[in-house]
Amino acid sequence: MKKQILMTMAAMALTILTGCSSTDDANKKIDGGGDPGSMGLNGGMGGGGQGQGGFAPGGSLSGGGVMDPSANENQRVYFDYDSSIVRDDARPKLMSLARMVNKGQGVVIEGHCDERGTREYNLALGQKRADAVKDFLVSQGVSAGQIQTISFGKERPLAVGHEDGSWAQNRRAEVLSR
Amino acid sequence: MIRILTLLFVFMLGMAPPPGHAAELRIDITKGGLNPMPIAVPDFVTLSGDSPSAPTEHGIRIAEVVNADLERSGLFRPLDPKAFLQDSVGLWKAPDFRNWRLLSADAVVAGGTTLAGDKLSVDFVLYDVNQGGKLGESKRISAPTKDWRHLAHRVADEIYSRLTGEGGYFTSRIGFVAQKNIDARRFRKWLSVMDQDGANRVDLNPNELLVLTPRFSPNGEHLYYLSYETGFPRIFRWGLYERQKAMLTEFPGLNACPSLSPDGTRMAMTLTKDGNAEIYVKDLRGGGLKRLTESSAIDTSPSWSPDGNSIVFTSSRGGSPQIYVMDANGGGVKRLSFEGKNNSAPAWSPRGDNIAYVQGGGGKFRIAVLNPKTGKSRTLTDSWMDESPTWSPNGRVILFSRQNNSQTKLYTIDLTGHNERMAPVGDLGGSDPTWSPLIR
Repeated sequence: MKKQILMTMAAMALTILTGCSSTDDANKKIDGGGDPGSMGLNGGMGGGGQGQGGFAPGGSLSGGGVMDPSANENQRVYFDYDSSIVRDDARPKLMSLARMVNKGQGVVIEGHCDERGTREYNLALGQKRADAVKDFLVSQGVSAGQIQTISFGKERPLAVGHEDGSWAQNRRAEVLSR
Repeated sequence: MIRILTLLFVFMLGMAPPPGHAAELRIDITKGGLNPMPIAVPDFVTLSGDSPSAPTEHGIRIAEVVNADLERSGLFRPLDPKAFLQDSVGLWKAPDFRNWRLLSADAVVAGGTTLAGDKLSVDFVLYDVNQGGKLGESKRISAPTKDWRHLAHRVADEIYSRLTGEGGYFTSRIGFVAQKNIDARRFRKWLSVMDQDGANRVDLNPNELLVLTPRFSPNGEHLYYLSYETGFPRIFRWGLYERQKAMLTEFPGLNACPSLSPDGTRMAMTLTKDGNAEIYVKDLRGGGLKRLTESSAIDTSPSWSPDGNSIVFTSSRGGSPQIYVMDANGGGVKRLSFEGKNNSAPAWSPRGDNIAYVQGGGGKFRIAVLNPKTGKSRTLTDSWMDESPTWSPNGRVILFSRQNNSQTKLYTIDLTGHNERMAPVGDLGGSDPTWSPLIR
């Protein structure tokens, strides 16, 4: 899995370097997921049928619960407890993502929380996290009109444990193509 | 009768503690501190013929349901029928109070059933054993035979009400989010409704993938809830009688936490369309949308006072989530909770004198109640992750969800902090409960 992430990161770097502005490339980025060679905002390793590589609202909703942790690490940023402030360690990742978004491409930002606290409060907190990431991307030149936000509150943990390590992974936002 | 008075006193103590008592913050986990009243509810006789005859199926099952209701309330201790010294027919004709006193029963219920076509009637009389006389008049109620459990719950409500002086809650239903794992890592969440004792569970719209925070309308005919069926969190209404849904909101961002005003005409909710979680009220009669809160922090979880004049809610405007109250038009904001760093999800009691909420602290989230007048709070539960408190229609019992590791189940607890029980949802997970008004 570590290898996969490294490969993805390498692929991403390549994408960034080559500029990737042609229409064909943009299309690839939008369908994502199916093609193991695809890169860009769909991130991950494409997944070839794992169903987690790309993002479509329907795909994400095929049952709640735990997301596949092997996908999309380059598209995740993490937050402190009960905080929606974009951390310093998240900024370089978001700046790379902002550069990868093409004009007119739809972006969905999901906000997530750890399991502590009430469902209602966490829905609002997840939204605040998604909105904070949206503001950051907009500050980096992405048009606000391209971005939609969804809060899943504490409904979609990444890690199933009930300790600090899992909670830290679950307090996150995910930047996905639409 | 002395015992009955004692019970009444204990009951009232739980409802409205006299000034000076229950003031300090404390964990009330001494379950079983109440002394439940011994009561005998023998099988109901059959009244269809010329003279009362031995109990048949309906009479036996109705007595079972009545006994179970009374027992689960924690205020009664139904006696074992094996010890009874007088049979149901004898009791129906003329109670032998000496025999019931020998069992230490304080009250005894004589009942009978009459089946006519598809209509079932139930007659019952409540006796005070020590006084040797009736407590209230004998009563007859009828319903279609298929609703025999409802008849039993009405009998239990009547007994409860006569012996405690408060309304019953057994003819109510519970709405909740049922949860089942698809595989080891994923689950599905959908709406389900059942009687308060767990019987007659019905799954609504079972193709749902993720729904949250259902709330009954004040007339018990609709559930307002959050669903992700469009891909985004939106507020829907499910009609329990028309069996169909309607999407009510489609604002950008989060649309959550629907809560109906007591007269059913307005819906409070949380929207983020203006940049941050704020509370709004929508007039359901076709009127407009009014924004009630304005802060850069989270404002959410609105719940109406029973008179409809105030709304209690969660806000993190003071740096941590706390309970606040405001007028129904958004004015007069006042902070209610001051202890601890994480208080949220308030639910105003239908009696108005208590607000149940989730009290975080020490790595735990517990159910607590606070008095909106004095601001004094009492902690009722002691577990790792309790949430979503909702009140029985008489304001006596709080229903909530409890997470243990990855399993979530429904529980009830008495306002006094006694009688904590699991509410049966079978092998499903259950969360986000909402308690209906009485169903007639």
